[in-house]
Amino acid sequence: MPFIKNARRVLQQNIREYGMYIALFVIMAIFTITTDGIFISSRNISNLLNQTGYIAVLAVGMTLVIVIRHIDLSVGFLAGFLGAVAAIAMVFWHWPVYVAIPFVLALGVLAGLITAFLVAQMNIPAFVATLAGWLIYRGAILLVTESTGTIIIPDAAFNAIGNGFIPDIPDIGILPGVHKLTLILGLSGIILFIINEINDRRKKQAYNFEVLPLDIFILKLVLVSALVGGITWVLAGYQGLSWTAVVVLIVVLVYDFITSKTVLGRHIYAVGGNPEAAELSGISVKRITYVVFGSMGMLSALSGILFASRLQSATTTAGTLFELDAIAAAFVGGVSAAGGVGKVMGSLIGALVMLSLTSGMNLMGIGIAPQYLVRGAVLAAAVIFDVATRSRGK
Amino acid sequence: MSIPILEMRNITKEFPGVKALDNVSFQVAEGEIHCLVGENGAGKSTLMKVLSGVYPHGGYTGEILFGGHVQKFAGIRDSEKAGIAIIYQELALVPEMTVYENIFLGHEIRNGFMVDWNETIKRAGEMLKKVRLEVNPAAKVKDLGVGKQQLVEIAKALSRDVKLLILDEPTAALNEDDSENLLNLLRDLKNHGVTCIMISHKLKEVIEIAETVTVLRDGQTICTLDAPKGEVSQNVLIKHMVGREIDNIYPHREHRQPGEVVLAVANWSAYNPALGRNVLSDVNFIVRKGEIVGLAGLMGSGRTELALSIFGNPDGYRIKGEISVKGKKRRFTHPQKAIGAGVAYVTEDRKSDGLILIQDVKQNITLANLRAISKRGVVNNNAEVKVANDYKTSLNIKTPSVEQKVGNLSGGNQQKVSLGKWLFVKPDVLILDEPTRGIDVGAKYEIYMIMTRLVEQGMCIIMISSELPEVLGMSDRVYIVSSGKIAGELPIEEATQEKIMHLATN
Amino acid sequence: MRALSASHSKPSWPGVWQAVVRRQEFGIAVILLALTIILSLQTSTFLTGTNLFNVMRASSWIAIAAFGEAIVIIAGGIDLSVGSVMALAGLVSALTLLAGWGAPLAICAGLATGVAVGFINGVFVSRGKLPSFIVTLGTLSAARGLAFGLTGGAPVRNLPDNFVHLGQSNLPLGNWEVPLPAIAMLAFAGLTALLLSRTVLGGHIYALGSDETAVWLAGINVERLKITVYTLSGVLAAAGGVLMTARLGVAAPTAAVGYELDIIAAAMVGGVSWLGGKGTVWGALLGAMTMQVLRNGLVLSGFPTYWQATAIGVIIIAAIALDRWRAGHS
Repeated sequence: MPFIKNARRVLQQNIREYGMYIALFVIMAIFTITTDGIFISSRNISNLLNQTGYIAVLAVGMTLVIVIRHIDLSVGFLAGFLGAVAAIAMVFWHWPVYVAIPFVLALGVLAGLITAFLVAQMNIPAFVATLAGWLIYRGAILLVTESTGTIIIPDAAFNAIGNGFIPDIPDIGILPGVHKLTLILGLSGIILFIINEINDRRKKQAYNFEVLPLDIFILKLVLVSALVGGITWVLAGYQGLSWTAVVVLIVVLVYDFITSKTVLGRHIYAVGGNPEAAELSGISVKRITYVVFGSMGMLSALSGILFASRLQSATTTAGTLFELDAIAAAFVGGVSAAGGVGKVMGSLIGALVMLSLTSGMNLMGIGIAPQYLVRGAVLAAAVIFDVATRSRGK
Repeated sequence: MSIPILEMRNITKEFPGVKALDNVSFQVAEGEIHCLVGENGAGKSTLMKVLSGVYPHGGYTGEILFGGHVQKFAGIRDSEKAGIAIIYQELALVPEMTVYENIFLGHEIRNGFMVDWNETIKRAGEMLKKVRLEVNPAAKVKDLGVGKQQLVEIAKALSRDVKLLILDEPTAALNEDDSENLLNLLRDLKNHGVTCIMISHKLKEVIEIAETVTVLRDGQTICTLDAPKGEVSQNVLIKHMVGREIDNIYPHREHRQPGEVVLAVANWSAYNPALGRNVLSDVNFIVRKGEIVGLAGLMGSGRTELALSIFGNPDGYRIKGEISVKGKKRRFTHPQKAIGAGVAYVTEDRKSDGLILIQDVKQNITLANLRAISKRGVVNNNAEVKVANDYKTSLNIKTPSVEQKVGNLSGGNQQKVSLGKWLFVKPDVLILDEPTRGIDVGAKYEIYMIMTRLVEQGMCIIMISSELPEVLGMSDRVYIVSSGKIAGELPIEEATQEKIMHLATN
Repeated sequence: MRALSASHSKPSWPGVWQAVVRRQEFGIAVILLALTIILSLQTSTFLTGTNLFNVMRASSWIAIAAFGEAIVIIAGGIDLSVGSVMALAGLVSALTLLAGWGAPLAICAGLATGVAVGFINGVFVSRGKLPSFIVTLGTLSAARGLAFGLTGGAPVRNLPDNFVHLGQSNLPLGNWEVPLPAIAMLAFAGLTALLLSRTVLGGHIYALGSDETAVWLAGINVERLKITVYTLSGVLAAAGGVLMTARLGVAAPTAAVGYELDIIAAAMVGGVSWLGGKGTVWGALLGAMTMQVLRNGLVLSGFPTYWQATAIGVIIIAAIALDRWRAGHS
């Protein structure tokens, strides 16, 4: 059976990349069985995606931070703090939402640049600098919410980011009760993906690069299409694509483009792969550090906005332990502690894995305690997996 | 000859792709000072690391007899127990700790559970007296000069009842007084029954102190010479060290008239704040269009520091002096600036400073000049593959495709990728630091061919090399670097291995 | 100037002064003193025996854990798991007490928990060659989860009196009622200081943080040394956790959340250099006390609680900046 042989070989060579998809699939399958299908219900999947949003954007930024061999522990409370600032700007200062959001994003960039200053200029290890940030932002979030307690956000447009869904095209009689724009978007996504993959494969073959065997290639196309199609169908059966999902998709696509197609992206991976060589190749390691931490700060702000919007309020505990979920998501998504390795798309899958675990365990009525344990164990497993596959790859 | 205290028989040690030691045999008589000489890469340090257990038993073939017994050292601890102590070029002292703590690090004097500091300080004082070092045992090691640190290392060895003391280039970083002092100390130790092996490049010292000299070359024992019989002289040593025939592995090149001056470095001094001393002082040299200039000198003489200080100074030396490229005065504050001005530097250690091993061939080749294949910050993948394939063909890089990870290539092909990367920035001046270290003869020849082609196209090359035949075979002109200074300049017609060695070892 | 001072062979006043100033603990001692003076002038309640002993008692478990953290940082690593270990160890002691074990055995069980977590940290850091902050971030999460798992999230109350006394009683010394935790803190400080400055192990720990290669070349088993270092940190954190549980009279899985930062801050504020190889237990003690004085002072002066976290964060950055400044000037 050449097919099975091919499949095994491809799997062995790319275990780092495919491991997380397998993990996600297994987790989803298990929870679907243990919850009698509730897990895979439209409503739950829709919720799951919305909950994944604020971790996923953090994980995207964290991936780049870990790629350049640093870490950022301050992102959770920074997100919580900036979410609160957004709430205050709208509620107390009466700023319109389209001013408040860019303002908060800019604050996030500023916070990131301060971290970068400590790391790049002062040579303070990132985990110490961001640990201090963790404390400072924890204090800051208490500072701004202490007098008022939870701040309720009344702005409908802002709250729609975390709770709303994209509008549907007018009913034309076919498929009643199904969200048609979502279906259309999903279908176009699948078609674009297939065209892109086939083009890519042709190009590689023209250059005589190694490509997947044809049968495995078709299998991959079918699996991915089925996955996207399935999720689209499930979502369309509920209320369609949420705005959170749209935001996350845009962030992931933009970052995926930057990391894989641009000079900046190349420079980031070069710095992670070998800082000395990068410096000697004329890349300013300091500049890259500023860029990566600045982007991390901006994504923290976005995460804070998504979370505040989802809760329709800013709370004193917002952002607690987000950094752990984000780091775990990045590791599950295939980022390597040794630097230079890790994809943005992977961190999205990693975030889905972490949130599927939480969601599934909640549905099963498992207490908060074992959940902690499982999440810690998943982080540990991901790091061990990283070490094991890294040493074998060399 | 008295009974041998040490006998190493048929030692062979291989690293991936390189045979560092090839069937080496080596004998040291009890109570003598035995010098081990050879060119860089001849295998001296490797041999001593086998002896001291840094490369444990099982990692090499052959037999070690010490004190009449076969020894199978599994680690440093074992060789120490047997009475062997080794003092490395990079001193193994903890800079933040005191002299007495360092002397007894790893074999502290205990009083029950506690360290007996009083006894420690007293004994440290005795040891310091033995090595004739007058410092406060409570001084921190980082506050001592290199010469004194060296003596602390020896005191540390003596505190362990050493029978055989190995010194790896002990005087490389010392001034003349300190060196003389150290040699006297070794004679003194010999009189107290300590056998001594010294690795040294400074042949004058070797002649002064050695009773027996063993010469290694290319991982093999060439000969063992007896000083009392008058077998040791500088000329004899140099002949044996460089001994090989100059093979016809250097491509023929018309020594054409060199063109205008492309790079001029004047009154160039660099102070390294980390070491607290000048690594370069008052260096002057020029490079002309279409010329290969050799920078010869021993390791640690300042050649690499010179290249780095010109190439944007990534190590942050404090620099005095001037550079001009094509007649224009320049000041490079980052490698980026140097690259922009047409200077490229192919690093000595391609694995740690040169290449990104986890990335593929094409990514490495285009790294230093991504702008050339990108528009508004977006990399054009087709252009990248084309560039990479062009260099793959022109440099004959042996790889299944340019998507292969560089870490999977052989040393020679890695070096070609490194060259490709720097050729792609289209430099006027190409600095090559040990361009052929650790690669096989065939690949060497290819690299020489490429160099020849490049200078014929009008590029100029600065070649840093420890291999004298290579320097002589490839250069148009040779500068000899010694102790951070230009010790001499030789046109290729006048240069010989002996002359270069004399200038470099003085 | 330089020539003049070099010609003095006898210790001169400036010389002694310089030696004192260059001690790592000097800066923090001055800050502590200044804080104390300011607070005693500002509030009438600060400089009372009761309040000072309260400060000592309240800083005791942070300080004890900070001794372990100091060991790890001196050895060139970091241990983020200490807060979770404190909670877990306290919980294990509480549960074993309720299971009918006597106080001594229960305390040992708590300490053994710390040994286990520390040992695991050490093995992963040394054998796995993983960065210490990632390993201990993992055990931070895992130990916390285990603490929740053991009780299902509920706190453990009704601990026997003889155990609770350890944390709550005072020892009369003359006119003063000295809290037992304060005495325990000083005892642990003394023991750890002795270990670091007087034993072979201590010397090796400093050497490891200063230059790992030199330690390896001296024939010392680096792997075993690292495991010992993390195990020590684990057991000291556990001791802090048991003491905290005795003082509070309740063991909660949510106890000591975020303490790892206070503990690291205490060590670093006390002059333990994150570059490794430098620092003392006494510095960590001063650091822990300073932070508690700051907290106490902020409360007494009527500042809202949220300033505490921010103040500590700023202090960490300031301490590191000072450390760099000192490194640049030595």
